[in-house]
Amino acid sequence: MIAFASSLDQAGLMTRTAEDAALLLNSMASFDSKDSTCLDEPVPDYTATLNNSISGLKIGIPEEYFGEGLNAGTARAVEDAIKTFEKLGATVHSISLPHSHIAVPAYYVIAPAECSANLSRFDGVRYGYRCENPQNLEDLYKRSRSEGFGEEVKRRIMVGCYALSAGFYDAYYAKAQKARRLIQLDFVDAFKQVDLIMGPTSPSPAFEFGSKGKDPVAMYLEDIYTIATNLAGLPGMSIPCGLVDKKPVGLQIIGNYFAEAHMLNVAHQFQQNTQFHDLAPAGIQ
Amino acid sequence: MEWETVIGLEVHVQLATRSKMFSGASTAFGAEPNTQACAIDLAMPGTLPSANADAFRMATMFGLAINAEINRRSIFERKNYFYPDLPKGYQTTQLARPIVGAGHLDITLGSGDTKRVRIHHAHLEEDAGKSLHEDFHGMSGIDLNRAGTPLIEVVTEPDMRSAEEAVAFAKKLHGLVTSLGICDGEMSQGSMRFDVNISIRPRGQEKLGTRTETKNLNSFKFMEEAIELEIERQIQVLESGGKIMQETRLYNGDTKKARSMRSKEDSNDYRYFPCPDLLPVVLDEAYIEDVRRQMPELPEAKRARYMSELGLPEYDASILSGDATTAAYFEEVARISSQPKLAANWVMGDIAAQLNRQELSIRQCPINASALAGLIKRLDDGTISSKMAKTVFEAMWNGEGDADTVIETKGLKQVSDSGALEKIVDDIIANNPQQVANYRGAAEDKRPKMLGFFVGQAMKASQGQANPQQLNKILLEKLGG
Repeated sequence: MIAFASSLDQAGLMTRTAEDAALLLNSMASFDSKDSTCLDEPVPDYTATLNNSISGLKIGIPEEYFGEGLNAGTARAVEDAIKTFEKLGATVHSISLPHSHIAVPAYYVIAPAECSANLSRFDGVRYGYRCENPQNLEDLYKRSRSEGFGEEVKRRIMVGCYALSAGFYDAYYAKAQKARRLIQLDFVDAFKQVDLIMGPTSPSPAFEFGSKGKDPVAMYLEDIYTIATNLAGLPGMSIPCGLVDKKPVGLQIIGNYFAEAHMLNVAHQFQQNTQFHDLAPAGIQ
Repeated sequence: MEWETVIGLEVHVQLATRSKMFSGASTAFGAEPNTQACAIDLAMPGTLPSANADAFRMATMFGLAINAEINRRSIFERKNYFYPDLPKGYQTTQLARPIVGAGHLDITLGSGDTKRVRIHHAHLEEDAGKSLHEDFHGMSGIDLNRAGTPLIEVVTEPDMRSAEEAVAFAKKLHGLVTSLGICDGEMSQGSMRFDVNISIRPRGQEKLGTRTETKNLNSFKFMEEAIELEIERQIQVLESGGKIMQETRLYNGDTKKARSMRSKEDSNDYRYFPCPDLLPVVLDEAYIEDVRRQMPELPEAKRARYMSELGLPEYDASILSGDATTAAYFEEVARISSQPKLAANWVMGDIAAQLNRQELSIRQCPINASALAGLIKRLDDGTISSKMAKTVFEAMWNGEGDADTVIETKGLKQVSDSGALEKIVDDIIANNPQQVANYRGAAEDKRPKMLGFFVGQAMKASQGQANPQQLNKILLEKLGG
């Protein structure tokens, strides 16, 4: 895994079903002694608990995830999914994650800052793209990186350098780290009351590839419900919960630290009782 | 105007760990370029650092030795800048929370005075690779063997007031880290490198002048020369109405000239931030106590022991205890020869002089400790005179074998047989009646000086092989009569 934003990077997986995800995670999860940030926790068999009953499950619904900006169709699909869980014996509890609104700004300081350093190694000296006929060292650096990186990558490197630069560090990077801690503490509080948290994966159904390229902030806001999970370092997953205008909508499940097995169990029980994971969006066979 | 010099030092001390700060590659010096750089040192995408526990132990040891607070929680940060010998594009170092906090080191000056130099902090970091600008025809060669070698950077307060004080501190620090065994102290290989911050101000003024930094000095001699030169330059600039520019300078020890490398305006914004790949390192009381227990004898303690147990004078004890390798060599010679004072004399005298002349370190000394002890034994048991010992020493230095072999092949045994010596003395007395008469007629206090003539004659007659003590004794007896 090549580092982009080290404190946020995580290996993810994309599968047809929760059961497949459990199988894959069984082979992926283990302690890595070459990663200093890896915890040496016992790894469960993620398939062993897939069929456990979810009766008595306490689901937290963050009020902040159902406010302004949420597509009505998406909201309906997610609410229907939650009703399904109730039918399976779960109880639903309204919770608050009061710092949700600062997750995107915090993320777009921390991730670019880390990426601005992580991508420095792509300098045209040892490997990767190297510009033609560099005139001197500075030219080699400037052209290799200007020509080799795409627009979004360059935008993030610039934002990251700015956030870390002399005189701005406290205003941006240090502040973003404080925001990150507040966001994490929101979840710590929430998990004192509930077992899992659910909500929409994104505010609107899937949008067309490249359609928000000219408006990066609009694109960044599509991550508004998932970014906090990433900042808090919690496991999260998205499962299909319906189509709106023939475009897929995702239900997000957020678990406490090391609650992957429970999340997979709950998702699997949902998929045993619904067909959404078998639906294909428009244009896909 | 009378100027006062203010000097602060930043010293890069390479730690003597076997592997690098964040990878398992070897740190041994002198390998083929780029043969000791693994995927992590090359910053291959997907690699991650793992901190070297031994480097923490060594840094902790250093902190304890300078009476510093060991920070229980230290954090690695990334210092960002582009250079081909820095593969990641950032150096992993410590800034806000270094492992070693404020401490101090006391130095002894030529005047005999002691002065305390405060150490602001010392932090752990990784070394960069080496850029070689010669021999590549318009290109630069990059050797990444050094990349990732653990360092502690020791930063002093601006407490030194002259080149002498700065060099005394540098030597003291060298002695300390080599005694601790945390650095091999090989300055010519870059194991210790000094950055010198220098400013001047009118004597009596409190406010510091604008400073310059002369980087990467790797010998005490160059350090002294560079400081003297920079003080002179700053005085000249200020006295001719100019201003000192804050800049980084380089000193060339061959040409004895310095030049500006970059001004403050050109300096990088390093954009430090905590390295997300490495967790904060937390050291507990038990760990620190464990390191304290493993501490080897420090130079101060060694000096005291040389005086109390081996009976050395303070001067000898200070010199010999100052450098760990020299101290170990001396102790070995003293132990085998059972003659600490003679051992001290030889190590500080002929050995030091020869090493100096040939620019060798004590590690490279062609005469090992037991060989030198062998020579001292022959001197002590009267087999050879001190004059002969010099000849034997030279032969040993040139690889002609141990003391006994050289004495044998050169036929250098001194004549201690009293019969043979008496015969020589009798002949001299018979052949120099005038001198004998003068001697016998002279006042008691004039006689020792006049005895030299007879000693010289006897030595000549014995081809230098007469045992001087015995000869003296016989001469005094016979001349006195």
